[in-house]
Amino acid sequence: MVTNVDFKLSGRVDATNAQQSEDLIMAMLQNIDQDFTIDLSELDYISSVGLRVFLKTAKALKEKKKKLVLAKPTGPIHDLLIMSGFDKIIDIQL
Amino acid sequence: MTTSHPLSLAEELVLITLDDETGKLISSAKPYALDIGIAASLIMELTLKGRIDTDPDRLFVVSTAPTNHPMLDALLDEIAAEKNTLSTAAWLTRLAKQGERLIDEVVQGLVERGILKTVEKRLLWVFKTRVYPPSSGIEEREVRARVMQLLNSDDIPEPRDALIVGLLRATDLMNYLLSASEQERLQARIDHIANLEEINRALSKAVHDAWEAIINSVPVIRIC
Repeated sequence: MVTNVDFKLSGRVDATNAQQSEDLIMAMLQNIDQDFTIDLSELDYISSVGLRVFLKTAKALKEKKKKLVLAKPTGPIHDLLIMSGFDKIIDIQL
Repeated sequence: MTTSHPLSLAEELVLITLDDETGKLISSAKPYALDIGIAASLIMELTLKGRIDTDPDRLFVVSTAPTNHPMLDALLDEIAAEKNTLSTAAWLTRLAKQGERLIDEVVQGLVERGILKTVEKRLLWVFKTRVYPPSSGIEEREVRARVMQLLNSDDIPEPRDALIVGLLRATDLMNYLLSASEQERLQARIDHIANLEEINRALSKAVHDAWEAIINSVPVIRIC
C-alpha cells in the first residue's frame, strides 16, 4: 500500500517535458533523505526519454542508499515498466 | 590533434569495432549487424540530444533544431521529412542501407580528431589499402573499462551506458570484450541493462529480422 507520495506525474511524459520533470525531481532530491515515491495513477503515456527520468532518479537515490517507488501505474504503463525490466531495479507498487 | 570533446556512441562503437593491431574493422558474427548498429548509435545520440523520442510503436521527431553535428543533422532532416510514422526497428532497417557510408564518416571524424591515424598498406604488393589503427588507444580502453565496470557491478546505468551495452550486444561485439565464460556469467546483466532502453530492444529485433531474412533467402537443397 502506498502511504506517502512525493511527486505526481500526469498526462504525457516524453522528450518535450521529461527534462522539466527531471529538474523538478532532482531539485526535490537535494532535500530528501528518505525513499521517494512518484504517483503514476494519472500518467497516460510515457516515452523512452520519459522512462530515463525514472532511471536517473533511481540512480540518484541509490547513491543516497534510498530507493525510488513508482506507485499505482495504470495497466499500459505497468506493462511497459515490466517489459523494460524496470521492476528489477525500481519498487513498483500497484 | 585530439580534442577533449566526449566521444559519441557511434565513435565508441567504431573504436571497439576496429582491430587495434590491423586497424581494420573486425567482422561481426551477424551480417548487417554493424550497419544496423551504426544507424542505431546515431538515433540514440539524437534521443540523448532531445531531438527524437521513441516508444514501442514509433519513432518521432521532437525538435528539428540543429545539433551542429553534420551526420546527426542530416539524419534528423531525413527522419523529419518522412510523412509516414515508422517504428524504431523499421527506421534502423532503412538507415542500415547507408551503414557503410556512415561508418566511413565516423572513421574520418576520428581521424580528424587524432584518435585514429591513417596508414596505407599494399596488398599483394599492388593494391593499396587504407587501415585505421588507434593513435594511443586511450579512448577505446576507457570505453571498455566503463562497460566492464558497469557489467561487474549492480549500478543503475546512465542512459548512455545502457545504450552502448545494447549496441555491443546486438552487434555481437561483446565477444571481443568478454571471454566465453565471462559472457555466460554476465549475460543476464547484459540483457537487463540493454533492455532498459527501447531502442536497444528495437535494435536487437532489427538485427534478428535481418538475419532471418538472410537465412530465408538461402535456397533449400532437398535430398531425396
